[in-house]
Amino acid sequence: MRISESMRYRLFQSCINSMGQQLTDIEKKISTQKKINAPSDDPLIFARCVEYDSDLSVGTQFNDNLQRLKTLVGMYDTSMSSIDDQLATLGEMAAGYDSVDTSLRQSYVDELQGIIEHLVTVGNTRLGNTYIFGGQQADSSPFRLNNDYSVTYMVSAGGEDATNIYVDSSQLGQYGLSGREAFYSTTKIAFGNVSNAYQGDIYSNTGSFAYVLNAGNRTMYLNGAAVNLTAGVYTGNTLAQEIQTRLGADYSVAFDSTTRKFVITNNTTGSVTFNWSNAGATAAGALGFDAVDSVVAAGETEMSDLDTGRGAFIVKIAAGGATTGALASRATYSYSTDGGLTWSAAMSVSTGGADTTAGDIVIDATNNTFYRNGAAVTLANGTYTGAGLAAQMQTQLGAGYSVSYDASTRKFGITNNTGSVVTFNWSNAGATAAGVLGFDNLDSVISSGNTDTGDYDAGMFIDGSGVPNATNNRIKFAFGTTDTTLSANDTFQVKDLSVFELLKNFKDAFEAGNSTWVSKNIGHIETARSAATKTNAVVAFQGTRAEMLIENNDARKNRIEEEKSQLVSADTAQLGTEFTVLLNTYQTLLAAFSKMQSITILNYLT
Amino acid sequence: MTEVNAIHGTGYNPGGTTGVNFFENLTRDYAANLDISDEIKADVNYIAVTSSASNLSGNDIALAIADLGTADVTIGGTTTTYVSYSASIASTIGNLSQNAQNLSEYHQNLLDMVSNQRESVSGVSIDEEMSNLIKFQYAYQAAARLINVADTLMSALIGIGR
Repeated sequence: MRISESMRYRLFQSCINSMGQQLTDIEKKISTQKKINAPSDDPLIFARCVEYDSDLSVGTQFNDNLQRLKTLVGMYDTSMSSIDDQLATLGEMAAGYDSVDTSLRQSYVDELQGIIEHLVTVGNTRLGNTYIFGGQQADSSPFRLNNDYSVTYMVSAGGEDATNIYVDSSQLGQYGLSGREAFYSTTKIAFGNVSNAYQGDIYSNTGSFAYVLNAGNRTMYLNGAAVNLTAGVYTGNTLAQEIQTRLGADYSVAFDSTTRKFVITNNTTGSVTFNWSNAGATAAGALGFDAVDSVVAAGETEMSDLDTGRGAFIVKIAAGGATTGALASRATYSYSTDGGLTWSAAMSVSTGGADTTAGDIVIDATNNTFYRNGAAVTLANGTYTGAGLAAQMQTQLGAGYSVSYDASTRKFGITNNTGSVVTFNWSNAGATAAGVLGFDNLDSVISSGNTDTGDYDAGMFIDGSGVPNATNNRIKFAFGTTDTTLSANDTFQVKDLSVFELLKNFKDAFEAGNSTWVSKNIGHIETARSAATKTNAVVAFQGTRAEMLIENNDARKNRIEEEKSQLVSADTAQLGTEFTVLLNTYQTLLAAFSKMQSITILNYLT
Repeated sequence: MTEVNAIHGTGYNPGGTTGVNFFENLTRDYAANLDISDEIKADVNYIAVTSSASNLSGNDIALAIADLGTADVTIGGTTTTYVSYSASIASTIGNLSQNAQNLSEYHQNLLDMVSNQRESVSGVSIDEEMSNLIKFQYAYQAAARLINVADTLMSALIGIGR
């Protein structure tokens, strides 16, 4: 081929250009330390990098959440230890109260006031602008100290829980502690007010709080279809099982006893809707769900918005009088389930059958049946003392059984002397006597010679009913038989244990010099302390979990970064060599080019 | 934007108001005009984070918006996530750009080849010109020499004639 001058010139020029371009590329790679700087460098790897970048930025957000949680956990830990310390001090003061000189008692009151003030400060601790015990209402102080040293919890029921945060992709949780979890316990206690004239014993089956479902509160809606739960008396766990049974194998349902909330997990492969807003979804209230529909994606969970096990009872003596004797002559009480806004009609106080002369257990058509080996045993209707009812049970059970009533525990015991195993079907829906006799709705299998002892106190429920219902939630309340008489307006409470209320009550008792009250309620301090310890363990667990998640996150971040760097990072040594070689060639080319340009026809003539 | 607004619009802000958009509603030029809605620009308390009018302290709407990051969405008839979608956009742009570069290079080469062909026909090659120059120089010298010889011969002939 004929090589013209301009051809040669252009060839040189394009070579120099492309080499210059390559040099610029390498320079860019070296300066950015990346071999991929634009999508066009490698579209596939660039796309993958976009995904990695997104993972990394989300991971950074999770880490921020977790770091904050770690700080919070530290603060919670200090706070809970402080609560425990203060309760321990209270315990010491209460234990030594009787032996303390009267002049020292005022200093006890002062110290308790100090403790209450200190704990309110603890409850209103802030991290930045956030009240750490404010739950979702984190911008205003959760606790208010009143003039009488009572403390008001200022957070609305729906906003109590700690805020939900993401700590990992698809790991959403309530991390942190709400004021209610820290300063209140889900353990119910029964106590008489310090100012009461009555200083006798009170009895309550506070641990037997139950969820009672009936025709009016047993329907939930799933994907627009009604799901009917079986009417009955349930503990949190058994109700969770019942919900699971009704929803089917595609769901798992759990009961969280520390928050008394139900957690439903959707194990189907698609999203499901719980139609809590449906007017027919009558179970929403009992299960603690707001009337807002929830769409739950596959694998996700739906948790109660509210704690429905918080039911508290205030009992007020309507007309004073004796605690024992014929029902007509006894003191009367009314109760309130809404903090004292509305009160029931007055009814006679009960001893749970412990009064040996006059009975106060009423057996009628609503509560006269229990089941043995699947066959109904019907008690004769009437009003019984505990011992009288035991005799009646024995009569109806026939030979081979002995039934006893223990006035100190208010419990029945049925001893099987038949020589063979017997089953008492307390779970049978027809076993209407279970409640009044004090048996949980669980079947008892009793071998010969053994005794089926009541799970809780015998007698009538707090609303005077003989069967557990949605009003009394299976709570009973009874008075001692050998005690002083009740005075009108004496008040008693059955409610969740509150640290502040406990402290205030003790302060009042110290102030009034009511050593009987102090000695009767000293046990609640231990309950509060163990609740505080338990909460502290929950917090510690959250801390450990946060640490673990932070580690996991870091490890994952490192892996992604490593992988990303393998994909995009430039090998500087190699690039350096390439650069040198290219540069040399480039310079040679340039030299040749300039020489070529200086060649004229005259060069040929020399 | 639409998805965020759809979720945000159902939420309640601390004042109990609902139905407020987070982003301005746009019908075209989305990327150029993307903006936060006027209400929120005026007062951040318009940001709605809870789905319940009765409980204004929840944060489920904020969480639902966070969920969008990994949620399946349908864009242009394809079910994807935002991350995958933006990755695919980057990848598509990269591909297009790479293709354009390759094509441009290819056409440049074609052009070069054709213009080389043209040059080989019409261009000036210094080697050829040089060889021609030498060739013609020698031819000229040869011709000059011939004339010289002829001149000498003529001179001799004229001398004889005298």
